[in-house]
Amino acid sequence: MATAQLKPQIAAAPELPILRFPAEHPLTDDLLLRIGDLNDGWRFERTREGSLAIMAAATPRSDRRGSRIFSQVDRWAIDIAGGEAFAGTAGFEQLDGAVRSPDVSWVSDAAIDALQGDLEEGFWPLCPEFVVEVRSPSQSLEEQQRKMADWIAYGALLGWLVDPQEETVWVYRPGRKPEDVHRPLELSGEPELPGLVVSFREVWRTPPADEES
Amino acid sequence: MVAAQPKPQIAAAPELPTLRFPPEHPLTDDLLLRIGDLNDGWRFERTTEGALLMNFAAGGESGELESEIGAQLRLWWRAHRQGRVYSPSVGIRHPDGRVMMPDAAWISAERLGNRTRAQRQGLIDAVPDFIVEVRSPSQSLEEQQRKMADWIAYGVRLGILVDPEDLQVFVYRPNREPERLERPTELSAEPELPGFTIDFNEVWTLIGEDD
Repeated sequence: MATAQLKPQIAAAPELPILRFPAEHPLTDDLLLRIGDLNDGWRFERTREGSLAIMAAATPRSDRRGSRIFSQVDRWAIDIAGGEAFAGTAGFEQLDGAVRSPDVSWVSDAAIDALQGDLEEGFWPLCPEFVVEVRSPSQSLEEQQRKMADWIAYGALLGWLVDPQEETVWVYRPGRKPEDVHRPLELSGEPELPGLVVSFREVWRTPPADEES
Repeated sequence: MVAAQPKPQIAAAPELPTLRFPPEHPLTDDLLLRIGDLNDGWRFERTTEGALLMNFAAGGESGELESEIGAQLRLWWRAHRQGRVYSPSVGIRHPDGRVMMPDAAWISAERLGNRTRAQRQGLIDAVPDFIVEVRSPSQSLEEQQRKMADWIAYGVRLGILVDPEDLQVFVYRPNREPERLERPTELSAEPELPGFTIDFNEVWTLIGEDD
């Protein structure tokens, strides 16, 4: 897969640990949830190997980009498509044991209806049909591209990797190579998500500090 | 098309989390040891509150200084054969549950008492008589000084903090103000470690003067 040329970048943030747990003390769903409860300012996922992936809280800029996309997906779900849209912190458990939290996601009513058990408790054992990841400055493009490829393998119908540094959206669909769209002003979710159009104007908006110079 | 030019900017390194564990799944001694076994490249300690404290592996310079001081301590031990000397990866468990990893440590035979081999293989629940901490560039001096004060409060009789950044050494003893020494050439560890003198010339030589 061809990757975009990375611009020179100072001080890659030091990596955070992916903490391996011993087989006799596994990182259970319950422990993962409780660690999330107890440790404000951090985000946690579980890898398919059962390890604890520790991530710093999102930078405000990165979070705001995700929120702008989320609010449009949520509006679309309420007005047109039904289902539920999620921002940032929802955990979804995959068949290989991984628990991941996409920056924005949407799950259809049909998928929610198919779940058994109490929807209020625990991570939902499903892959959202639609997943958006926003690359933050500390994340490498390769890492995020692997993550999106995983989402498609887990069963997502449509994935957008939003890369503010490159001002590019990588569109992922099952059975296709990722398609890069440079600085779109809006992006349609058709045909998988009928009626979804997301404006990216606010997402690409140059930070005020840069406008002054 | 106007491509936004990102201004080069050094990201403040995100601190590592001090990972709190729920009371119903506590970070037991065994779990702490196993996490240490399984996660190369990291050093783990436990706070008084039972949380997992993660540290990056030592940087090259601190690691080299630790090795030099540890070697001098080991050579002293060879001549006297009293107590036990430990490397930077040993975990010392305090009565309040905190587990700390000194950069070098010596525990007298009196403090160690009789221990089975199995006991010696786990975390050590005796307080060292002597510890050394080497400050690494990512650690603040204040942070290390607090740690030294904690060591003394736990019962350490002699603590030495080596600060390669400013070529200074702080000597901690119970009930005394820490003593600051500027680029000492040697430092006697008497009376706590009879006959042991740290040759600091060997330590400073390792740092070099390239800037």
